[in-house]
Amino acid sequence: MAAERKAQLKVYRGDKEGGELKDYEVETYPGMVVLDAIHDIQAKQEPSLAVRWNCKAGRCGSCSAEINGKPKLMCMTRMTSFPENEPITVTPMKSFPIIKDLVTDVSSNFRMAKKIPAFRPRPKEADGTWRMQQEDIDRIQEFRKCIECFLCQDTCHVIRDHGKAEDFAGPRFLIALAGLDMHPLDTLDRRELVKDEFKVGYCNITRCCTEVCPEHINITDNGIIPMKERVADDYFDPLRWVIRKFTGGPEKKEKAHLPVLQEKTGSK
Amino acid sequence: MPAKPNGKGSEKVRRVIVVGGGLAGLMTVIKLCEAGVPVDLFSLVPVKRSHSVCAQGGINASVNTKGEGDSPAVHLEETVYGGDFLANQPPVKGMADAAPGIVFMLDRMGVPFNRTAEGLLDFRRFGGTLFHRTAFAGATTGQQLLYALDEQVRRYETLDVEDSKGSVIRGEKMVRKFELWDFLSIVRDDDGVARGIVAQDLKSMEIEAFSGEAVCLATGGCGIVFGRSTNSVINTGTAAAAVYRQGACYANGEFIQVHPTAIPGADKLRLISESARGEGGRVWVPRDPRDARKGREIPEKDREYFLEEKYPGYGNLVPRDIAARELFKKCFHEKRGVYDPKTKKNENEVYLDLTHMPEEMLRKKLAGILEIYEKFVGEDPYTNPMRVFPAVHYSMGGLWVDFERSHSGSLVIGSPRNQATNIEGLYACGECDYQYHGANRLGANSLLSCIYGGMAAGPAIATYVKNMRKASTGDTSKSVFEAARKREEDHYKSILDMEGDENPYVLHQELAETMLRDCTIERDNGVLDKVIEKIDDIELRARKCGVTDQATHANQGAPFIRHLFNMVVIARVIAQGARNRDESRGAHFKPAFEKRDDKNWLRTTLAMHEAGEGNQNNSIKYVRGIDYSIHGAPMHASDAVDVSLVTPRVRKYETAGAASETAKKSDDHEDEKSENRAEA
Amino acid sequence: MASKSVHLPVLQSGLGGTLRRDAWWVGPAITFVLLSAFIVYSTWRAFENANFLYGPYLSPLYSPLVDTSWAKGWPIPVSGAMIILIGPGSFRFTCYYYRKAYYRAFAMDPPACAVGEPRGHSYKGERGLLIFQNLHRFTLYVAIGFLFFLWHDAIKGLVGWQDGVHLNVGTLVLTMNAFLLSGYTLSCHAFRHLVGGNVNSYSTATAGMLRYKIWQKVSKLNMNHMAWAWTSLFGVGLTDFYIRCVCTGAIHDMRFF
Repeated sequence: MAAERKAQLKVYRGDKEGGELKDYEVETYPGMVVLDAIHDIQAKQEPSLAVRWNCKAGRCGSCSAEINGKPKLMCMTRMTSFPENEPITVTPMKSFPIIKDLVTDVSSNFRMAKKIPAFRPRPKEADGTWRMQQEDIDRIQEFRKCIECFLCQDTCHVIRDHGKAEDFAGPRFLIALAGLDMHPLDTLDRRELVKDEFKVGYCNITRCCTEVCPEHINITDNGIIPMKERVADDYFDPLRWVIRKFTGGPEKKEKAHLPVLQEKTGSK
Repeated sequence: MPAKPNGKGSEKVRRVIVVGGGLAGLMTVIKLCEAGVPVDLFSLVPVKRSHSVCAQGGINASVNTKGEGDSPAVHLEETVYGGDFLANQPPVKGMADAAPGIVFMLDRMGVPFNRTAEGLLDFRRFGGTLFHRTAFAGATTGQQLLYALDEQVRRYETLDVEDSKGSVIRGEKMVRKFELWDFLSIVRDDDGVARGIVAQDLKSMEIEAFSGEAVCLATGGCGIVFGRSTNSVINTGTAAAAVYRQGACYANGEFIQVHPTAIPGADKLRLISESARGEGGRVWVPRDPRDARKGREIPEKDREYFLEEKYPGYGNLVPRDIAARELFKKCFHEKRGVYDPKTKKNENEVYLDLTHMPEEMLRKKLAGILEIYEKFVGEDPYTNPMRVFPAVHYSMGGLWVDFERSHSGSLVIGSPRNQATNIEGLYACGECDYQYHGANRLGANSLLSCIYGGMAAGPAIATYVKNMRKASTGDTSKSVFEAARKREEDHYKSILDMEGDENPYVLHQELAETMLRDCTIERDNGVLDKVIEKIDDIELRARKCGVTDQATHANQGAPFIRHLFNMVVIARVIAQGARNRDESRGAHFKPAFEKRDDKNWLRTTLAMHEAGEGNQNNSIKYVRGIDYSIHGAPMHASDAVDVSLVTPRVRKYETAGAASETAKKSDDHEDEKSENRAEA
Repeated sequence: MASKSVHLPVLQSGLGGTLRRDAWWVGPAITFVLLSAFIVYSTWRAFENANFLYGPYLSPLYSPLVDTSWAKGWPIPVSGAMIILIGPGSFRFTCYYYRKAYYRAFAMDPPACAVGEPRGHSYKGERGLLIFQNLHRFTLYVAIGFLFFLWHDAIKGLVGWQDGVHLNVGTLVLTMNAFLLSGYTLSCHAFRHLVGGNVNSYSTATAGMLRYKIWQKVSKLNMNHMAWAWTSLFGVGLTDFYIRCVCTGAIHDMRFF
């Protein structure tokens, strides 16, 4: 039987003015996850510790943080996955402005989401149905597993080290765009936007997004790279350009435009 | 930054306020926008973090792709039957009729529903029915639906408001979103009409009043009152409790659904969706209560498939209340739960077995769920039977809302009575209303009721608002908002100033333990009296909490105390309602009153709040009817249940087809069915 | 209990700045050593311009045989390998796996996940010359061309002897080399895109189901693209080394039959 044991935690306390790692000790029990430990601290030792969480089943994507430096969901990280007798460090996501303690402001992502032109399906078929085959939507279903925890955005060096949160769509939204582009019934062509506005070219395929994804979405291989190849089809491939000149090319989707936004991005 | 609200709402545009960003809230927003009504949307968490994302299994719609003879009429009957005839039937009929249309609409919004070989929507089986009626997108249907609706709402966030002449009003978008705002109360004018809300920004802790021509609550359930549940932590029921305290009626609070299959855990119970049984999962315990073998080593003959044996008609897919009760009985009364040779005890767990199903199918259809099991239990569910136990899951009860019945027995869509609470101008939909499920909800009806609730609330509010503009009763004086804001701010300050020695988290734990132990699957009047005493005790002690967190931003301790006050209020509604109802119906089961009592109790429990003065506790006034008004027109509703469409009969799941007698009859009425479809 | 406070720049940035406690630097370090070793070796071999032909065997670095007599008298010696390596070299340079490897190990952009980068450098992604990263597919066409030569070499290693059919160690080495390079080339992301990844609706596209099936097969190969990338790289190096050893007489090319 797992005897009761204690675990040491170092938790970031602070806000945008600055902060520090504080030491705590909690009793562990079988099945405990890091979020439990944080709650224990909040309930018994430090009621003012700020942390966001909600469903505690890895579905809502609220409790993202960095545990021992690695971006993870606190509710899905078992305490037993760390060596005993070593403190566990819990810090907020580094790529986003801190609000307090473990809470960060991820609104740059919501601003980015607003820029994506929505799904626009083609009309129904004559018999009133709207058919798609399972093999056509398998790929999309994978991307739709995304819970928007933004761990991929956090770890992406384009955002993390180069601060391009407002400029670069990041892995989360590149797979959203890929899912739209691959949809068998969608009628909008967002590729120019993917190249010029969402800046897929910033990605240099270092694959950290895929490493941290708690939903195990193969972001790089199934999402970003196919998206890059599709953009290359239309904008970089000279051979295809020539063929298009001569044959007129395949039937084109209608070009999408950025929705007009009320708020200027990056105002905050 | 959105324009700073100051009690007038937006400067140039009159808006409706929707509180809650889950499926019901978003659907209401979409319907309002379609009707040209601009909206302010408030949500406690970013909308995509709403609890709707946790719904796994699917959404019901009797599309009848498999040619089984399913129809909206059967869907209506089975829903009513499953709910033990406590639901008003016209709203349920409206919902069942609209369901196929809703699923097609979602399909058009880009929800990646699973497909059949012909490329049509695939449907799976769920509890309380023999038909394949549940459309699904892998094991994350709720999430897929929510994300699709969010995409639509995002479109309205970028769409300009137009005035009556069709010209664009600069700087005003159809939807303004306020995320991470905690709803505190509605603003009622001198006539008691809801004119706006007071809410708190959980980042800056600022309290503001917002004006709205009407307010719609879509704030979900109250599972956290029971602590350990399948619910998200935001599901405290605090918003519903707040308006209940302001005079809204709370109906059927005592009906709390316990889901039969969840992963037992220390403080959170992670759901194993009913779809696991819909796809062939079987529930069993070892025949020998001392069987120390591992689940997978126990041969077929030594297993007792107790649901299949007792309910041959519906087997593992009996409705949740029945399944949960049987599991509870096995573990608590018969002590037949899975034996753990280490502790030498029969644990409170039974087996949910999928190991006989082909792994590839499971990976396609249930991967998301099985992954969570593997993660938290550390066992491979593809080769080992899962160990599960019931957990609090859903609240059938909620804010009382009205409806207007059409000639055909359905709803008059667009009537301002639909989804209207007894406070004029306040609407409710989603899990926080009480309308669609009676005494027990069938699986995969909740996503449907959320969306249908929004589809009924949106047009209802639009009509209400348009009539109001005609009568030009719009303007409310600024002082009303300021007074409401001040009241809430004072209340918040008084919480910050609390210096008692009670720990609010511990109080919540005490409350939750009592509620979970004594107020869920089996209820007893003597025990319930003690539960109510305990609630009295906690209510008093909650006033003596200490607040150590004085932070001026992102403070979490103080709002928690506020939520605790409201949870105690809801707990009282649940416990007192259960104490009063001396019968067994759906999820409400009293061994001392084993039978359903239609003579005395085929009626809605209508609870009204009575605030305790000074050191007195709150109490509840039960009423037998509701009188309210809409734009001066008096409305009345009694507590009698509208059972005009399906006559109540005894609920039995032993024989196949007992819940769906219409299906047999309607075989000759093919025309009628297609008519229904057209209506949807 | 909450007593001790540690004051430190908690959320570290700058090169290597991280709170990770695992040995994150091991992966990039190994990549750095191995890739560097291969580059050094192949450069040296390209300048050597000898010991690449033995009987029917031809080193993959020099295959196909290129006549470089036109470059006689140039200030630097020109070998066939120098010209040939441009093809596979650019294929590997623009490869979606190698980009991860060299960006982490060489450019340290980033060195590892959630580990800080060197301060103060600017980053523009696929701009300027790097825009050619988008033409990976053209390097793929070239690489597929090379596969024909390499399989030709492998078969020649079997039947190209003056006294009939041989099965030597060298034959096997050449075959293995061609096999690994085929695996690497056909598991390429651009190839996956071209054979079917670019289709949105398999059920309605021309030859859709066929393309779907091919795409699925390539996808399966693609999942191990990294393994193919490394094994084929070693394959090339070892094959060349083997042939060099046979040429210099350091090894006797054993014959099975």
